[in-house]
Amino acid sequence: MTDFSTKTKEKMPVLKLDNLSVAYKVRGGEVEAVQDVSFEIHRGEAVGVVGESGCGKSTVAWAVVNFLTSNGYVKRGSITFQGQDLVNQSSEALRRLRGDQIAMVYQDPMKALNPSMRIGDQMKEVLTVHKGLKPAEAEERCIEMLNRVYMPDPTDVLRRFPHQLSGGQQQRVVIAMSLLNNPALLIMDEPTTALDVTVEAAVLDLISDLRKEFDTAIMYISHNLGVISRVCSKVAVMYAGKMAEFAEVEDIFRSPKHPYTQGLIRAIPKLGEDKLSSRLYPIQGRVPAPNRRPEGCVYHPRCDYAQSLCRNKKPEFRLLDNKTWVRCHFAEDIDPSEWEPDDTEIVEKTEVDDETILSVDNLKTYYEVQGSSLRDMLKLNPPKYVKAVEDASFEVKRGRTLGVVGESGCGKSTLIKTLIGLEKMTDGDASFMGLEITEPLSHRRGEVLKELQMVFQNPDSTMNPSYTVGQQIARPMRKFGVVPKGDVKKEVIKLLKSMRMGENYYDRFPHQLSGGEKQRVGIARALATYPDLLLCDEPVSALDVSVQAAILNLLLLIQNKYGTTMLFIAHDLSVVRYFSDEIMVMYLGQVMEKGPSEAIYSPPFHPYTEALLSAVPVIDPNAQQKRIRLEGNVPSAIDPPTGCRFHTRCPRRKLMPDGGDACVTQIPPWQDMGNGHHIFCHLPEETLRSFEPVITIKE
Amino acid sequence: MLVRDCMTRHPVMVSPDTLITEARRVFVENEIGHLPVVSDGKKLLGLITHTHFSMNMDTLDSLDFWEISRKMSDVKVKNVMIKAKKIITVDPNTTVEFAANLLSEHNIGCLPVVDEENQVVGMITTIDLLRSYQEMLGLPTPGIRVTVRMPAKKRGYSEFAKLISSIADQDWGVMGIGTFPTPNHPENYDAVLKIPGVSMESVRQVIESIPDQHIVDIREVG
Repeated sequence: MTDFSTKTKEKMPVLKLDNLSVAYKVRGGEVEAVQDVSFEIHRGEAVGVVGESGCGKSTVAWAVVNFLTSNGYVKRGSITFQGQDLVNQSSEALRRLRGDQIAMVYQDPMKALNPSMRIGDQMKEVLTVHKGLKPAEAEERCIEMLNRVYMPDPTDVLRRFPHQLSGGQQQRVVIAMSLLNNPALLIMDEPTTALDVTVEAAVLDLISDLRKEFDTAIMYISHNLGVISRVCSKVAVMYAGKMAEFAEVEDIFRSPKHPYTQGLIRAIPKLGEDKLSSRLYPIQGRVPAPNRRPEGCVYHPRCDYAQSLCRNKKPEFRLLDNKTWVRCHFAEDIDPSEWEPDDTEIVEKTEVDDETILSVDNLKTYYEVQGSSLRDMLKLNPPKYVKAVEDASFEVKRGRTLGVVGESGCGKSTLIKTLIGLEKMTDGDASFMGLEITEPLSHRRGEVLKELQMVFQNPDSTMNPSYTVGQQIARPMRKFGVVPKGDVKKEVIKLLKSMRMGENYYDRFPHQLSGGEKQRVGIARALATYPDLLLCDEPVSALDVSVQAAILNLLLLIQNKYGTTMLFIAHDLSVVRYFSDEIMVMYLGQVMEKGPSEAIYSPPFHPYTEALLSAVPVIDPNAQQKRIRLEGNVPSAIDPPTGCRFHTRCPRRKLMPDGGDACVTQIPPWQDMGNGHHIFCHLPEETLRSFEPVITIKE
Repeated sequence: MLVRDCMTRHPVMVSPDTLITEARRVFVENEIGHLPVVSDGKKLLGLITHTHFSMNMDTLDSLDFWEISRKMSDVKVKNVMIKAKKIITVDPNTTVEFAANLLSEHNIGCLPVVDEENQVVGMITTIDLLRSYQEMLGLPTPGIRVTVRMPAKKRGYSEFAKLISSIADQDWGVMGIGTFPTPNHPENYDAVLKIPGVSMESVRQVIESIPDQHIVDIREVG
């Protein structure tokens, strides 16, 4: 339909929040987690809600469906859904509304599905119990809906249990289930955060298709601005329980008005930027707890533009002339292009000799799989293996960073666990500074252990909750005798300071730290022995964007200061591109492409790399992105496809002569593209070079 | 164009136990004229329209203010609504002209759109149909609006094809189109076309060069 008709048609929003405040009763009073939030969502419109963790995004969503915990309640304001006030409804009326007209999709699909019921029974239940449909009819409707969400082979999926589906498929089932009742409002709380980029891209495409087809109003909560820019038409930026800015998606990314929005956008590495040409700017400080919000503008302690007015007077949420709502006294006067970082702490890169520090040759890591048949038990069948890493060969030079990317299950974590000795190497050679590191951890000598350290993904689960920060960092120092016993404390404090944490952190326990601080301690502990090689397994993926920027800067600083070599795993391609000198792309245990990072992100590239790049959510409103979606799932690593492991999903296979027979039967050659760039593909070099770039910026 | 393309999806609905005073508030706040009454699972039970809120003055006369409010606080939507079996509904796959026919034949203002399970999936009102009518004639796009009269019976309505082929020869686009029998002249029929991005003169020239056809009205609309 044309703009004209939608304009005349849309008077009444599906959901209207008016000055909504939500409070939690706690000991000694109550805290207002959400204050004065107002926005509207119309039919067929998707409104994104962004902000760091602890800003009250999810609380807003829970208030709408009345899923607040027993101590939470709507203190002021109203929630109007389809003209009816939701705040004072009886629980029975709310239950009916939730069943019929409001649906929710949450982050973890596994939690929304009952693990002990078949998918078909769970989905049919919605229709048979709620609507009194006959089972046969219900099944038909379920199949129809699964087809709508592009689920391959829906009849078969109905007979499976949730654990037999991949994460992306589970999330599609949850979305299909939520749409069975044709809801007027769909609330999605970080629905793609737990998914791989390629799956995420497919789910996001699906959401925007469904919005158009069903005219559903969508409230989309996410911390990822790229994702929001892909599905939403309007964005509400929340900070410390209040709305900081509300505008059309284009306006938010083209000219953000609130300093917080500007800060969020600056903290994200843009795809194609690297650490040499650009810097990330984290937002200083962190989100205040709801009971410790500052006077005046809640953002002023972190704001670069704060003046005395900001400290004394709360800004109104007001409308600027270009239809942007903003809560800032000086929104008109702030020009983000004139912004300059206040701390320009750049440590000159330590010059290091260009020796190869780590060299890996045909590394294989297999896991034996125990079959369940009697023959398997008696070891009569030949053993089966999961080929987690197959023939990985690479070298890393001192002071450089090698980034490893790929979907989950591609073997990136196994690779570094093998290098550090947590997994047993099946075959191949690996040498580190001339020392063999093929044997497992328990057989390694002290020097090797000391020089190889690891930073883990989840800082929460890697720290012993009953040891203080100081003890955690001091332990490896004592064990390896890095410094004389008397100097340990001094050394720990020095290390903490270089992590930008004060001496007062020495006696704190992990539960007294925020996520970003925990990760800093994790890094400090890994650095306690001043290792030569630091293995980082998704060190920033559990963190908010602004904290992520701070941690990345810190890692860079360390690298420049100590000349540390790093192996860096992340699923976010923009982060990897920003941080790494060289990149290795893995698929199903096989290295598909390796080379200098700038070479990986522009043609020629491997068809798999191309698909990964086209799935990355891009926030630049001028960027045009090619749309390549991989079909199906990553095949099982027990029985990987013959020939090229990627041939079952390769969108470029049709470019090969005779429909790509060679891809099925022969293992591809390593083709040298020059400058250390190698591609593992049958396609001739000219064809690979003829690919268009994935992302083009139009002026 | 089918009903599902121009209906209002996810209409505002009430449950049968809603108080009539509450229903009235929903009416006023949302500026709507019709309110479907649904059970669990959005099954259509009834319909409330403006007329249900108009009070009979004779009955009111005998009551004082307190009696009125007491009386009103007992009335629920299910006591006054039109019952489902009396409501004319349409399927989302019905054509718009058939829906328009239903509305004019029964002299009603809206049709609830229900699927096979009697579940309400939308509402279509006279306003929605008028809007689709505007769209068919290409209202929002500026261009030349021309009405051409041509003989009807001659060669079985093939005159229209001539008109279209001469427009096609010019490589012009057509944003909206409608044909109807000429009022009081059943031997002729008129076609209204909206052609964007051309001059009025060139349209006049092309159409007047077609034998047996002439322009009844031509204007530039914005």
